[in-house]
Amino acid sequence: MRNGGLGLGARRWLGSALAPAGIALAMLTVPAGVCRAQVQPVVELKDGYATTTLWNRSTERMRVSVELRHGEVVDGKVQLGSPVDAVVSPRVFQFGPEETQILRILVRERVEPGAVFRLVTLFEPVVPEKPAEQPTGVVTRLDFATRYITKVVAP
Amino acid sequence: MRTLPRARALALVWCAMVCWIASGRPAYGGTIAASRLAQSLRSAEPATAAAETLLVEVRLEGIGSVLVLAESRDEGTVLVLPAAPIFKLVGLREPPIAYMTLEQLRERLGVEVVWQPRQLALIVFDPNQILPASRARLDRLRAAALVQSGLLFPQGLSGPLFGLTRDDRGATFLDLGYSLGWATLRASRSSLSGRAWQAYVTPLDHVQISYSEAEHRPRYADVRVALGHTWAAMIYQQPNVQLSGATVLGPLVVFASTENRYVFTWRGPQTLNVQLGHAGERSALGVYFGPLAPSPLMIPGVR
Repeated sequence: MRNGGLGLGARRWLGSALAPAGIALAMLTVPAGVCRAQVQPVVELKDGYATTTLWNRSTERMRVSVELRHGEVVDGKVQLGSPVDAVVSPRVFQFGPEETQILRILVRERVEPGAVFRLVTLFEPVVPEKPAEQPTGVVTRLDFATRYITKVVAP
Repeated sequence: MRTLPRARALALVWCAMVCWIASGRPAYGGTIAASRLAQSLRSAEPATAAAETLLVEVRLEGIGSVLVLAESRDEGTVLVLPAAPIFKLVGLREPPIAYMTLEQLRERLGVEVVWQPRQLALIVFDPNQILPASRARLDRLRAAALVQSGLLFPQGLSGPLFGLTRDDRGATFLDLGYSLGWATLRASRSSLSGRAWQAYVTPLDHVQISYSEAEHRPRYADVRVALGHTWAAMIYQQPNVQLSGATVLGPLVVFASTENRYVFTWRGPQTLNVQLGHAGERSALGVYFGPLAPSPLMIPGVR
């Protein structure tokens, strides 16, 4: 009997088509909301030394690892090279929501005027060991790691 | 075969376990002994958790700061710092050991030391001026204040000045002058004390010269100089000339004047101060303890 609405087959087809699209859309939009860490886009070296600040604007505790690398731009894309002989302090740490961390950099190798290094900062949410209790007993969690590549320049 | 009672067997097993645990190395990387840390960052035995090199800014409030390479161990619970640059910052001599933990540094300095890992900063608070660098700063401030004590016009301000005062007796006082900032000339006329004029010159930051003449009063001139931790003044009041000065020699502050006045002030540990002074025919010894240290320019005495 046709009542002018969608048939059962059409509904299933529509559901099966919309569900992946919804998941894909969520994957695209969720990272912007989850990882809201901030770094300064350009850090200036003075006599091989620089300080900068990292912010955790998210609602989760973050694990951060930082490294300083050589790099160059090829075809409009940044290609990372070898690590720079430098003290990056701290290299690995965790900080909670709304916390800030001072980062100090001391480059040990000779720095030519105009040199540009790449500060690679990886933010990962700290996953709690015991997930929150759910009535169904099933928990799905998507963790997004965000990596910023910013400039450290020697004027 | 004779069987051991159960309690005795358990006791034997217990003793064997205790001996086995005591003879072996602990499985965890607990706090490293202070003597081992005192040797070197490299020579110290590595803890189970990876150590991380940190660039730490050590600040002594009001004095300055120094950047040092420290090491964070045992997941940040132990901070090891090079002692020499920190001792130099606070004005102490060579440290007895090359590296110190945060706790050792607190004990050694005897002041509040706050570690702020988020700022990578170690802040040393010394409100009671216990550390030599804090005392030296206080001496410099005191010397600068003494040099400028006779300066009526702050440097940098310039322009004409005028003042007129009249009281209920009908007496008047007129004051005129001009200041260039580094030099000031002023003249005054009082219906009671007569005419007077003064000149103040500050040719250098730490040198001030003044001269004044007035009716019915002797001529007056003084030169005040402050160089680092040394302060000196020459005061001429017709017909006498008086010389006085003070200097800091480590924990000892010496003040002397040609008017047979002198004070030796020894600044001991914590807030202990001992003064030996002489003025005229009277000598005195004073022992003081507490945050309010006596002025090294004041002669101790019973008042």
